Amino acid sequence: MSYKKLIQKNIAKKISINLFIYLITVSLLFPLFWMIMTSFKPRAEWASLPPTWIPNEPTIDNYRFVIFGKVEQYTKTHSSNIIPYLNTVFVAVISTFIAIVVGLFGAYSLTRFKAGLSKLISIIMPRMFPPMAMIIPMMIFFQVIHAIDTYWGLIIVYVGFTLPYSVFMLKGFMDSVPKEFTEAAMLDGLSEWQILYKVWLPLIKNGLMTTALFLLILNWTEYAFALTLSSRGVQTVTLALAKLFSNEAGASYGPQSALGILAAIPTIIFGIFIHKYLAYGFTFGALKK
Amino acid sequence: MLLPTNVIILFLVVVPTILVIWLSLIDFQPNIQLNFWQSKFIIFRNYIDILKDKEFVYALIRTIAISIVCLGIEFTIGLLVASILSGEVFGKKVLFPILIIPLMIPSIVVGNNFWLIFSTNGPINQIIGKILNTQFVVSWLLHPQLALIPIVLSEVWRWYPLTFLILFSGLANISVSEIRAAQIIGANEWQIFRRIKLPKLKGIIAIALVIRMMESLKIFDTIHLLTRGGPGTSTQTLSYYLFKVGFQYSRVSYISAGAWIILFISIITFSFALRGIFGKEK
Repeated sequence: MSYKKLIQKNIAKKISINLFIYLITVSLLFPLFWMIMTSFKPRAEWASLPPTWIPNEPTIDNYRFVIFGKVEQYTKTHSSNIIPYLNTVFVAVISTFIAIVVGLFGAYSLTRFKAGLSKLISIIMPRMFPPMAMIIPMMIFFQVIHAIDTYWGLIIVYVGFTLPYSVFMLKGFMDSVPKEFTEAAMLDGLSEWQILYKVWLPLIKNGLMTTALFLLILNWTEYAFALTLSSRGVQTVTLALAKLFSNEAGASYGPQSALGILAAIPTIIFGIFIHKYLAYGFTFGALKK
Repeated sequence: MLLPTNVIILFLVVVPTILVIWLSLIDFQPNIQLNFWQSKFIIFRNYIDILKDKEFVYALIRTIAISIVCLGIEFTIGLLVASILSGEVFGKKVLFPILIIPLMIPSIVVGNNFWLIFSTNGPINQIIGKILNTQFVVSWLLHPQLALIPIVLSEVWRWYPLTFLILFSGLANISVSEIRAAQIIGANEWQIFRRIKLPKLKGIIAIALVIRMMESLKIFDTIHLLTRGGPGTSTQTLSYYLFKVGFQYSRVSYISAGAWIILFISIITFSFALRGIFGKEK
């Protein structure tokens, strides 16, 4: 094979790989594209046949409907979604924060004092089974301690069921901290708290961001616990969406999509903001250097 | 400093687990005005009944089948995209964040997405109709077998970024020099993948499998939104079955027996799996 042919072959290969990945990306983004378009469609185009790909008369009524709960064009009124939205922000952020702080201590002691495997496995246990298997005893337990339909009840559950990942992921990052750093810090007479706070924390900052995003996603998108443990007291945005969905089945494509987009935007923005860290962070401690 | 972690996990796992064992051994019906500690013990009746229940066994098999299919598709997409993106691609910096967007979308919203595109008047029917050049009308979500397609696809769509990210992190940690060396002796792409990358990715593939398996067995949100387990019980998964029988029929004791069987199976399986992955290195 001549040199020229080799180069030609190489270029052809490069172009086909690029085409392939862009094809994958476009087809993977299709559901998202469809939801965005539907959220701007007026009522007449929601279920028209054939479906319109790009709305003929774009409108923001759907957004007004899900935010304020009332739009002149729609006969039905719906409760405003501002409260469920704020509930989700509050519960998700607080529980992510608690899970990270508690997980940081847990992971630190597991790494620092070289805990055995059984301890590690016992920590990840809450993630192993479907939450639905736990919900009935949990409801009875929560009734006894008066935690049903309260913010703190939901926060405890969210913290408990994301903590395993918090510990696991953070431990993965902490394993890569060189031993010499810790030894030097100990020689300088730093306490355990100071080692964690001054030496380790700056070193695993990226890992901390990755973990925080993952936990925030899990907490933000949680549905099963919110549905069963707090559907009357603390409405979350996922719950509000499901309610919108079942109230007028088949008749509210537009508002559903609008609320869906509003519900997804904060995590998407946060994720895109820190995507650089995500690229090397998701190893769950399975990677030893 | 491990104390807070242990306390929270103890609080949320041990207490309900003891409760679930207790509940599964008694005959407790919330409709009758009787507290659960006053109900009488019937020992193993619930266990025998639920294991004879075809709906439960089918839901269990169906959940495992859905998980395996989802995992297979996710790994194919994840590995493909991860290997392409770790090479040289035009506009990599833009592609990367775009490709992981689905992970950040709540599964309820994902359910809504797939409900829209698979609706009878939706774009999927239109596209298939265009290709076949006929009027193609299928009510995907009302068909007992076809309804599984949107369910599997929505699960795959939501979670493929996670496998992609895990595999990408793994690939990024393989040193370039080894691959260069192999290229110089004339190894082709497949040989490089098979002999160099795959052995190094083993641990990471295993952890990705276990974590995804743990998550996909929980599949509930999309089912609740898309089909409600229907038509009939044809798309009912484990979580949905537990939810339906426990909350709508309020057969608390009966469902506790099922829950305990599931807890037992998953804890044993996943503990062994994790022990296998992390135990080897020491």
